[in-house]
Amino acid sequence: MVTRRRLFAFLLVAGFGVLLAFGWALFTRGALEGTVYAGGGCPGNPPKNVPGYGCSAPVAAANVTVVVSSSDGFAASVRTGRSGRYLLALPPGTYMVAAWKSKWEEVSSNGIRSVHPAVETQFWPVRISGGQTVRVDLAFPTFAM
Amino acid sequence: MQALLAFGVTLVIVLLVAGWTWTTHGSLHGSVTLAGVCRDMAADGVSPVTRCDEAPVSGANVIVSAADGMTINMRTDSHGDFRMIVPIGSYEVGAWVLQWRGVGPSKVRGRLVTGGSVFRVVSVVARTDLRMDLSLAWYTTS
Repeated sequence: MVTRRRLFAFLLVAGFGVLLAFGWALFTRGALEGTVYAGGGCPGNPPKNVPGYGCSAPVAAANVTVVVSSSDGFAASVRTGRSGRYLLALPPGTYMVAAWKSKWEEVSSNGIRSVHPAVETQFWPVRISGGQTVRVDLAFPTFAM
Repeated sequence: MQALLAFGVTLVIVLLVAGWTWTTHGSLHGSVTLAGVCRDMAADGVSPVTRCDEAPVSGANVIVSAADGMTINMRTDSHGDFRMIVPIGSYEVGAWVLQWRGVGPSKVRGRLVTGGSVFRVVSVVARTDLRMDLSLAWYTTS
């Protein structure tokens, strides 16, 4: 009986500690999220000079590296998912954020291989506050998916 | 005798680490500059400075990013130069500066500027020293 009480007390204290840590992390850390877009991209590697094939709507860019760094030497990077989205938990502060994607090869449905050059964005400043999520969308100048 | 043995072992370990670093790492160095900084960055009421279209940026952050997630952030020295030793591989290198206030040739402190470069690809090879100069596009923030 005593052992059960001790176990219960231990679990209670541990649970309380976990909740405290979670709350602390929630209120003292912020987050950066967004989507990396391909400016004027077009899915499916479209043929050139075809009327009606002007796909100018931004296309989410998957597998892109998003880099975040601050003046105090902190640096981190995260990759975008299939939908081009990224999410990064950060301590409060001012950061610069940019994205890049190295040269890659795409194989279209009819087997045509095309090599895409590396693309990069410029750095953008962003301020992160505790408990807040800031959205920063990035776009490559030209980028065909 | 024991001290000599300890010294020998330490020396061997240091040599092994140095040899491993020598064969698996390369170095990357360069400078970070702001273009057109003297003409456009002079403080209000000060005549524009000519013949000065580039200025080294001290304290700029240089970011080295690899596809595997490794990210290094280091700052330039007082001459705007940087140097680092990195494992061999392909990297993207960029630089930025936030609220930077440079000093012009006439010792006039300029306006606050924020700027950044785009990333550039670099392949680091073992036992080689690569140079990469980065130029920042910028805008005033004061």
